[in-house]
Amino acid sequence: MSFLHQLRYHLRGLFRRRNLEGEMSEEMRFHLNQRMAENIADGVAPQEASDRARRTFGGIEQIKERCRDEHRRGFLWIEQGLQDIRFTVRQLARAPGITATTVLILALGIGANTAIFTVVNALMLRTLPVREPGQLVVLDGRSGSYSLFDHLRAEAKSLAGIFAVGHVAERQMVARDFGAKDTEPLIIQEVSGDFFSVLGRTALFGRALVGDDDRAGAPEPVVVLSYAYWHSRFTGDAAVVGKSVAINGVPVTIVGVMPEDFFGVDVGIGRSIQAWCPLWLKTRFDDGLEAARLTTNAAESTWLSVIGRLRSDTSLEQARAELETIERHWLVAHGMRVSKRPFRLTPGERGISRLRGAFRRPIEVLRIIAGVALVVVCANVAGLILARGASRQRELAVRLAMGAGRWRLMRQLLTESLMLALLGGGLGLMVATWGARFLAHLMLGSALDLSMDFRVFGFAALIAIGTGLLCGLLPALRFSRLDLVTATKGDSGGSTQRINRALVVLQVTLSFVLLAGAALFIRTLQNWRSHDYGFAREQVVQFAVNTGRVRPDAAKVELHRQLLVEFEGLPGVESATISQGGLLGRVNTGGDFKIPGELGSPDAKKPSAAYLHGARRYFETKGIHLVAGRDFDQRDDQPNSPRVGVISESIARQYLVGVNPLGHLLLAQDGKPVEIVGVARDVDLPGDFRPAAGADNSKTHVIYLPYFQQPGIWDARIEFVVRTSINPRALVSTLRAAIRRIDGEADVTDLGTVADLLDGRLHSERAIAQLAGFFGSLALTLCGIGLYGLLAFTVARRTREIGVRIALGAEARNVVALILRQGLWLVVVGCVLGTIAALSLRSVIEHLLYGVSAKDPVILGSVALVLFTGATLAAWLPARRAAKVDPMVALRAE
Amino acid sequence: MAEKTELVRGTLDMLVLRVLYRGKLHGWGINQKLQQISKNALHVEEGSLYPALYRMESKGWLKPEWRVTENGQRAKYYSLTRTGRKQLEAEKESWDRMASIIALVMES
Repeated sequence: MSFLHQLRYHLRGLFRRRNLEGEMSEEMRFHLNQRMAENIADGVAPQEASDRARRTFGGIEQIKERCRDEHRRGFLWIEQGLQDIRFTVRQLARAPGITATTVLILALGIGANTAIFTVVNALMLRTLPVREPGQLVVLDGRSGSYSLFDHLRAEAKSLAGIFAVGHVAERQMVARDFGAKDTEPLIIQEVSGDFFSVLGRTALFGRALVGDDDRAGAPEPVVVLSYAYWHSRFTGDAAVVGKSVAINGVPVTIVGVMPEDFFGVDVGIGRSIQAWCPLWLKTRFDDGLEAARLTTNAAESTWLSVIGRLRSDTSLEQARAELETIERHWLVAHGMRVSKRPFRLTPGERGISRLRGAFRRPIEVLRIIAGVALVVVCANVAGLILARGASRQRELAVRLAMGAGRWRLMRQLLTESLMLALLGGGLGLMVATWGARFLAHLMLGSALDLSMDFRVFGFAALIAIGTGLLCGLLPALRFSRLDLVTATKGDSGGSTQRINRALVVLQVTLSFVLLAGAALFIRTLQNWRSHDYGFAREQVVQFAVNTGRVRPDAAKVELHRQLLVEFEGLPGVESATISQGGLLGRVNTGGDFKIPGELGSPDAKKPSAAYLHGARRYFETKGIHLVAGRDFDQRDDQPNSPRVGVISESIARQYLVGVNPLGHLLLAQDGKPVEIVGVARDVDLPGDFRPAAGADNSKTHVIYLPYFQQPGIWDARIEFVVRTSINPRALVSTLRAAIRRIDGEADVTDLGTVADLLDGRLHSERAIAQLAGFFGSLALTLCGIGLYGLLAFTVARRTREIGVRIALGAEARNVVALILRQGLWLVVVGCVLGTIAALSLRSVIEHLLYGVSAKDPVILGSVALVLFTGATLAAWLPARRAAKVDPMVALRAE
Repeated sequence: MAEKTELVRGTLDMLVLRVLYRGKLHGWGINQKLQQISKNALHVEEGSLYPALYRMESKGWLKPEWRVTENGQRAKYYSLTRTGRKQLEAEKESWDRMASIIALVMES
């Protein structure tokens, strides 16, 4: 209180300097007048009264001066602070070029770190915009089958509410009530009826979904729109409520629009969701595979994310124990295996995100890279401040000699670096806004809420101040300890040089580490790009066809066959096939299989495999080499033909040892036998975000079955693969036209060459490679600037000595060599230290590398070479300048 | 006129605070009041009074305020702030202690 009062008072005093003078004069005049009046009352003549009053009062000006002093003493620190700032502004403005460079360097360093933090904040730290997010809990992935979820919903007493969400999926919509005839994609998340009420959010207008919307015989299909979609697609028209659209051919009524900040629970994908539908609508969306998961008791297919809200009187552990018990009883009652692993229940205030697990390590590495780059920035800026300070050394020494306190001087130097850092921080925030968006796009390719909140601002302010202190402290300490005698003589001491040399070595060392990292990540990306997945990547185009209407199975098969024939006949198409579920398709279905006769290694666990479905010429079109047997052909394209299958080599190796697999039987996941007619070379099934296998040698078992023999997977969405002899991009319009000829409502989506699709999956590899490259080049540039500054300073200091050398007969190249040697020696030390640092840090990045070792001598060698080249370039200019020193001028200079 | 006594060093602040404890006053008024209470025994120089006022103001003990006097003139009035009041108590306490110690020594 008293402090604030004082501060307010001082600030007032400060900004009203003139007013203070006026007040003082008036106050004292009043005093004199009173005294004079008193004197007159005592019977003294007016003139004499006035003189006497002045005499008693004493020297007015002296008193005023003392008042001013007293007044000022109280807020000396503020005034000095302002003085420092004014002084600093003048200093910085005097060298605008260096100031701008410094601020820019700092802005890049601070901005990059803030950008990464912004993404981390958005992805990992923010709490959901729902009621009491702290009460939310995420249930174990094991509870993600619909039947178990349903059971938990009925039984769990420790939860005040529970809901389930499905995957975010793209569906086809025709906005019929809005006069549209064409299909347009609609990104939907299907949620259980309690979704909105458990989250405690209501609609902006209209209503949210309720429990009754989500059951087998719900009165009418309904959908709730997200604010952003409603705003962009329906131009914010409130009359949408009550209107109807067709989703996958089903008429659905729009019942409400959610508020702007609401995006559900899925961080990362949530922002792209355009609408929410009840889970049970899946059965109407003709989504063959997924609908079955709702109606059958398929406990082993866990596809839902289940979230609950803890009752306020229940602890996490109590709830966990209860849920575990319910789960176990249910599993036992259904004759299923009970897992030994305890049931997991985790806090859900930050929502769920598949991105988090996948990106934790890449982001961690990026943070380290950006942090190291920031240290390089600090060292560089410290060097710049030192160099500038050295040219001001005499001034500083004079001020010290005239009695300026060392603390005061140090404070002034710190003010300078802090001010630079804050300017850099301000600019850095702009860099961060842009950088965070770029980073999120590069890494996640998805919509995150990247708005900056107090955390981001706090982080930026903190590292700006930290940076300012870090790069200011060294120069400040250095100059506040100036030796007056030598400094005033104009000999800018060798100790500044020593510090500066150490700073350059530090920069080279860290740059070496950053460049090595960049080279490794770039090599990793290249290796992934040329990785052999076991199937063709060039000239193969993959796409999905969404057929609009609901059809009976027979009509569906007919349509799919028609499409296939149509595609086969297109000009430029060499072969076409259906490729449902996998190898870059949308659904990766896994399941058990069994080989009758128990050949091979009898495993305690039932072996499982990925199931992929294809039509005729599947292996030819996909470019998967068949080791034995035959491709799928016309015979297999009939629903009632003899059931056949192709297995991957890995299955044959493990379970059919010493037997000819061809003609052997295999029990597929539905328990029905198929005859093995072929053995295919192993392939890598790229996981969701990065190629899963490859790094280790465990290939996934794959079982390929004919598409037309598997009624369960016939779907409104069907995936095709086409091998073409022409430019794949030229094929798009031809394909689209062909589809329209067959089914006017159908549309092509997700079209791309396999190479493109594979590249698209390298999000995080690409992001790391690019960012590491960026930071590496930034560090390299800074090294150059630092070294240049140091040598230029050296040359300036040694002009006289160099002049003497030249006068005594030294040749230009000797002088150049002298200066170059000085600079390159530091680079040698830096590279040696850098190699040591890079080798000891390699465990941090090794798990992100592919096909290259962190110890790779070629990479380390080329990094050193790059640094040497850069350093030579940077050292060349000062060296040339030294060689051109005119001995006469140099010797006369002082 | 009684003989004037010089102030004990460091007590001016305390006296001014004490005078202002009764209510706000301008510099002249403080000067008069001190004379009056001490029955003209104290001599306070204007040259010390005003710097003291400014010092206490800058420390936040006094709050200045321009007001019109009974005679219709503008004058700068000072009043005690809360910290000023606390300061007065503290100074009075230490003065009392000091006085009693001095008395003890002198009467021994």
